[in-house]
Amino acid sequence: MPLYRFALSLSREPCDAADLTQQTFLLLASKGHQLREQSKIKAWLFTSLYREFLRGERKRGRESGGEEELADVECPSIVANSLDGDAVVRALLELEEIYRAPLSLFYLQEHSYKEIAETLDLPVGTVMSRISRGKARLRNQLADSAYPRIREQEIA
Amino acid sequence: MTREEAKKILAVYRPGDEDRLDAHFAEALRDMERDEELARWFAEEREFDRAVTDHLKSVPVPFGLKTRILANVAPRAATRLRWVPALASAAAALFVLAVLISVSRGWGQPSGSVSDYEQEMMSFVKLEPPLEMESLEIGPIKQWIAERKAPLADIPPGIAAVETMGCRILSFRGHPVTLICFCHGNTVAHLFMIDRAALPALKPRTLPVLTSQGDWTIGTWADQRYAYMVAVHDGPAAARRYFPHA
Repeated sequence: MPLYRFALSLSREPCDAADLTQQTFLLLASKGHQLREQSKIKAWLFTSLYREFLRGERKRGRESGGEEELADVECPSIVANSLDGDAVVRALLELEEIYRAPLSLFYLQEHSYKEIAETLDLPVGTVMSRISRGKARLRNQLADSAYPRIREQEIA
Repeated sequence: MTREEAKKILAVYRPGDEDRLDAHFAEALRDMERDEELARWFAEEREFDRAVTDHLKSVPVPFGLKTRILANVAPRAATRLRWVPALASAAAALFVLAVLISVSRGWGQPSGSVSDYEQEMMSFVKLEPPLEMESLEIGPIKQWIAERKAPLADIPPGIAAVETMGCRILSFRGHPVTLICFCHGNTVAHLFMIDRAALPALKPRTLPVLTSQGDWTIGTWADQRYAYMVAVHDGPAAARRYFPHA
């Protein structure tokens, strides 16, 4: 269920993600009849879930931070087939929300850039730049988490 | 376009016609065809993206989530026939179709909010949710709940004698629900407390009404202020010790 996985990438907690997904379907049940274009339901679900998440974060006083420049950070090379699934998801969930949300939608491959931009209420250019920076951060985190393991193997 | 500029553009490239035909990507793709190093980098980038996508898409959905959503969405959706056709065309077709199937089965049935509440809470505990606060003593649990201004009453007789595991705050129709988890040997029991205003159909009574859901026994009752529900992962005979006056 891509919607749940997007919720998980935002909330980072399986239970909160389940709540968020459920809340979004409840919204669809109560407001879905207002949707004029049937083809927009998927986009509506993702947008509503994202807004619900932001509303919850505001209630808890947890706003997302500003965007830091990362243009000069070098992206380490990573061998894709050596990636551990849990480590990848963990690293993705550890990213700041401003990168996590667009990057998750990018990797879930359910939306065009225009749809991602509409869901996150951002210009397409900003979405692309956040995805690019988010990927750089993801690679760095994965490289950092892999380093101790490689060292252990070398010592052994 | 420099190699670094091309990399920045290609870093967000996704396979498929949409990106390939976009002018933004076209130039960088042409550069890549002429630049071996850029092509190598791009191949590695694509592999990395594919691996991350595969791992993200394999994250398991909690067992019971669909049931839980259906239990909540179906009764409301049953009254909204106008958008049933719209649901049918949702891209997440399997899931939404499941909703529709459930809706069609639910037509004409009266909605019972107590039963909705029981179903929703049960589908939640079947997910084995992580507790927000863990303690083997009821004192710190009560204090944690009180600090969050969630429903809190004296622990009902019966379950009060059982060792605690922890607690969590849930929500039902916008009302906070306190969940306290108990464990006796291998038997798990959950106490839910909610403001009785959230369940207007539930009149105050001291004797719990017992029902079963699979291998769970559920008792529900209320006083003037709160509605109580105890769910015990055991049969009715063994579960009685957890209910008051039962």
